[in-house]
Amino acid sequence: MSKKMIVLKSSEGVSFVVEEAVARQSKIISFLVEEFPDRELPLTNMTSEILRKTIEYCKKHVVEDDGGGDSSSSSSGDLKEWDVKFVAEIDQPRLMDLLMAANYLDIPSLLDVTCQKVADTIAACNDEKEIRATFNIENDFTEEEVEAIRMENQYPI
Amino acid sequence: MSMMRLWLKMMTRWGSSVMTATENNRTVYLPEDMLVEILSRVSEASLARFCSTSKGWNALIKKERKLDNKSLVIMLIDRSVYLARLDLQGIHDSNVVKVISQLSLNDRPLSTSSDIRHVFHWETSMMIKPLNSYSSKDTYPLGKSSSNKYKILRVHHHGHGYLEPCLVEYEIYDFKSNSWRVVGKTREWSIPRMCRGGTSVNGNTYWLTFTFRPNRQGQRIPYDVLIFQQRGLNLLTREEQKLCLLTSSRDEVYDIDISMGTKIKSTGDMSWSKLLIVERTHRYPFITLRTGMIFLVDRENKVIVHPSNSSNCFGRG
Repeated sequence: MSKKMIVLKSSEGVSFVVEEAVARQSKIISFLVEEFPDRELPLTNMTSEILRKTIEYCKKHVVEDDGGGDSSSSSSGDLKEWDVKFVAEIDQPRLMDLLMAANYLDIPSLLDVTCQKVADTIAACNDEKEIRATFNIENDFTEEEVEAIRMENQYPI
Repeated sequence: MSMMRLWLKMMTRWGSSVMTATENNRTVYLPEDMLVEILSRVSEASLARFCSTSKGWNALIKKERKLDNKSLVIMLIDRSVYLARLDLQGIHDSNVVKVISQLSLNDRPLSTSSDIRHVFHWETSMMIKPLNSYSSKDTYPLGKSSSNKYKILRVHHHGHGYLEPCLVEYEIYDFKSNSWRVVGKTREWSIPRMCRGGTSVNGNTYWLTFTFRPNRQGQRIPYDVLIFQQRGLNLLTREEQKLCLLTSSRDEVYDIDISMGTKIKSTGDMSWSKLLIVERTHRYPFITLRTGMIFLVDRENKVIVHPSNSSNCFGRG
């Protein structure tokens, strides 16, 4: 039985041919496939690199229906481990791109792992200076304001 | 929906940004709702350190904390522990907005579910065997002694403890010596089976108990309700929590009173003040309210939330 394929096009115009079941993990694509069958779907704000990563994730997470009973391609423990490794290998800017892609395409599980990874990165920072450096945030406070906030947030131990 | 309109809708998701990442002059912007999503996964203690990152962050963290404090609860349902955010602002089919972490107690070993360990600050898990055989009638509250050492209290009932006295034994487990110590036995009070879960308020755990005092004939009769308190640990929230008690009249007009514990005296007596009264309600919405059920009250919004099998039930004052 041949599987139905659909075509996704990145911002650079590169076409990716993927199985429908894989692409349908995105709620947006799922909707689009129903509305516009047999059409190439342009994903204008996703680069080829990020689209490739997203597809890699979806391929790993696809649940195949035609197999019957044992349908999941991997056990949930293995999958979690794979997810952790998947986001660990991505650098900060690309992780943000991937997070935005997951949000844009509406892929809840990918959004979950990427958000968690960013949250872990934030939690691992020692102070606000490290946060600013890591995420390129401009400090728009004056010294006095910073001091006032520090006082406000002191924890009663 | 036309293709164009859908694209436009999706484009608006990018929104304004408070977090960015730069690489080779290329900047990635994160919209506010994404950052809120991320920050909600960072522990509050960590967040406090980062308020001074920028004005945008400060505002978001403050907003997030306000949300958290209002609605973060730990629930135990069917041998699974959930950390969930509730929405108390309105009446919905389900008021659980989001399950933040989840742990099934049937999973072994515990170390595989790393997310809940974050919540409880667990490093490892260990098996502790009870002094005698394990019984499903036991309760095992975790608490701290006056010298700030963690202890486990085991309350072992030799009966259901409802309306009539039964023998209650209690023991304490000491982590340091890895041993159980028998503390005492009594027939003067018991925790009825349906109340054995207890409820946690500001780190203390409370149980509803029956106390039994002898009458003239020497029989022990149910006398009054005692709130049995265990000092414990404050797990998560810094919000102000109060112990509440819900009582209902079973007359034709069905009123429900919710009282709030205001002061615990050194003798252990507690004074109560009326918090909310749900007047002349139909029995139906409260039909699933039972003795020993744990519920949440939001004083500001005059809402009570309690769990039920199908959906949440609500009352408004």
